[in-house]
Amino acid sequence: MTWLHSWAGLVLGLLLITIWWTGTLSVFDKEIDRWMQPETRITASQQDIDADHIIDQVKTARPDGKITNLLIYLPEARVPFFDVHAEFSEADRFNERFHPGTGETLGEQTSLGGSGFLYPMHYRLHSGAVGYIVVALATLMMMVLLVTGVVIHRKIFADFFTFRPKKKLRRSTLDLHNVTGTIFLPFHFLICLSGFAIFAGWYASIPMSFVQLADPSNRAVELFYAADDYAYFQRDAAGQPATMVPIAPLVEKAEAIWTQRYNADARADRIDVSHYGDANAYIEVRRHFPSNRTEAHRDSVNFDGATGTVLADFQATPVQKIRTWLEGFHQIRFDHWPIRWLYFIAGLSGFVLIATGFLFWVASRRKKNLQQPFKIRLVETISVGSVTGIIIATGAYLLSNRILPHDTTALGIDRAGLEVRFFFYTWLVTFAHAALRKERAWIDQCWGIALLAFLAVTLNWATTGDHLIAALQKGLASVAGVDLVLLVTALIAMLTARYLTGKMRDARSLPSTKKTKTSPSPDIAVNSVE
Amino acid sequence: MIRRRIGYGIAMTLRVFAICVLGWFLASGIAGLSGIALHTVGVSLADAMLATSLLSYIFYIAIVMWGFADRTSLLRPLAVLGLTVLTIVTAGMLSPGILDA
Amino acid sequence: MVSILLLGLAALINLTGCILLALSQKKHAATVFGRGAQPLRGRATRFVGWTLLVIALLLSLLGDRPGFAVLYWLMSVTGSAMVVVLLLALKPEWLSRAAHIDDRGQRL
Repeated sequence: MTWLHSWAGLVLGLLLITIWWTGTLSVFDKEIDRWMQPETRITASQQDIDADHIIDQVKTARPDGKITNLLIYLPEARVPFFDVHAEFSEADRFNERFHPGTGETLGEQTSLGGSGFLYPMHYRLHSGAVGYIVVALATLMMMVLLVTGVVIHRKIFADFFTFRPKKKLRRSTLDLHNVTGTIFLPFHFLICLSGFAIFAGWYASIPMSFVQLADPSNRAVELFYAADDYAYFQRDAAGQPATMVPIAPLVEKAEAIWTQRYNADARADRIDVSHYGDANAYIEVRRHFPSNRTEAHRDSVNFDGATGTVLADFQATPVQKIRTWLEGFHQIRFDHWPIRWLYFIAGLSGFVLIATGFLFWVASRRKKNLQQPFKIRLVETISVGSVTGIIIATGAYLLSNRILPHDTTALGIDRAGLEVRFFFYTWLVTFAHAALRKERAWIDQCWGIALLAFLAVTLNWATTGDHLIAALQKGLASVAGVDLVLLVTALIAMLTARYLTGKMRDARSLPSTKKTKTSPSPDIAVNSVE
Repeated sequence: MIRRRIGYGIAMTLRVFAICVLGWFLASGIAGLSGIALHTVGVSLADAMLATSLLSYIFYIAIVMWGFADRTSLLRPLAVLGLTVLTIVTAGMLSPGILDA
Repeated sequence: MVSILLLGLAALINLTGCILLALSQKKHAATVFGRGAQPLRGRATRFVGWTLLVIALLLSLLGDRPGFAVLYWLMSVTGSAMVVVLLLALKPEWLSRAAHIDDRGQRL
């Protein structure tokens, strides 16, 4: 099992740490959105505008278009605006965000932010279908790693609280790896299981899709389509025009139904209008992520568009409820700030888990001394790139958002695309840097993290004026939170850089006879420059 | 000596592929078949397939742990391969009956 | 407001419980108190530690809906255990100071 654990960890470590890091950031993806999209830093708590006003606004914005379908995400605490996606008869899409107090548009969205880039990176690696499949495999293997890790670690209870940072690097990284693995095991296990559960039907169908590619007569893959079939209400357009009833009262009606059913306040979070203006139009009012439950409900009430009568009232089956509970557990869209922060810390522990896995492998191979120097160098380069490198790439992403003006385009790429390129190109550079600087790369990149984090906070102040104190005064806890995390990150990075510099200096000052092997120890960085 | 080492390396790599990737195929096959079985005794197809899809994660862990329990055995990965073919072919044969019913 | 206080209190009690559980183990007691007197060892301490964790769970249930309370409690025990790990590793003297304050009043 040790062999399987090490091999799987090495081969998949970079992929897993990417998924884990972007997942941890996604706990606060909407807060990162507020930071990166200053036009959405809205503190208006009163909501004078309802869905019907918004539809009027859409019609005003596009007077020549005829709406066929409409999707409206209602404002909530963490996303304080209406997000409207409209489809017009010419099959063109319209996407606009509206202020909940004044009904005005917020302007074009020129940054993907956290929920548009970091979050999708987490489950599809910015890559479409192939990305989904790679993440599926990674999820499967992560569970294998957790289980084999537990099997290998015999003295779980005896070593439960053991972390000895003053010992040799090999021992202390193993300690930290074990500790972050065992103490947070329930979280890691549930996060993997729930992550899988979100896509369970589809993940289980992927192998069958490959089989069908090879043998079209094998229809086993279609069985799995049923797994995600929630049997939502739908019907075709009648082809005849009809006037639509106002939608706001329908939303209230749905909320009343749910409030009574669950004996707790219920708020709708999205409205989906199909065949707008048609005799067979229907309006779905949905409560996908209730703020006061863990389940990612699929509460959904469908109303007739012309009369407002209830057409369907969806209730999940018990099996579906298991999945929606797991989904809600994973996505943590419910309203509970203490738990949200604890998830963030647990997520960081997973990041440390994978990072220390790499570090332990390098340190223990070093101790065995130079059987495969290229392999050790390669793994160390990958470690640096995937640990400090991805943090630097994130810093560059945030920084580029504050540096590039709103309407930048370069080489035909819009500003959102440019920000993403900053992320990936910076990340590549960190790998190259790691390959060149060897062990000193850790220290350099820690300083890099600190610098980028400070610059990001400073530029947020310079470009928007919402520095920490001002943001808190305005009630923008999201922006203050991101700045705070950036500052703490900078501090930790600086302390780590100084700690590592001290360790390297000690390693160099020790006489080489202390090492047990005859050849010079690679721990001593011969090429480093102070 | 080198030829034997290369042969060993290839065998071990194939072994890993057989268990980790084909293991996924086998887990899906088992999920498909057990979903069909559940549906036959009255569970709705949606519920049956959702339940077995969720469980396929557990099947996968079991398959991988079983496959790697013996460090060098080639019998286990071959068994995984055989069972994978069996379950997928069977699921393929049974699915039109279930889907078109 | 009350709910935040209850949850905060639960977190502190979780932390204390985890500290006691850690100190009931020989090697961690040795880190904090040295090889000589080990005032908090033994089953009694472990029992008190676990009891404190259960008390924290009850406080969480008082302060929040049951679904969230259990989740919060689990995450908070986890977080407390990690804090204890870091305390033992980096600042064991804080723990010995705290333990002596307890120890003066009653011997466990």
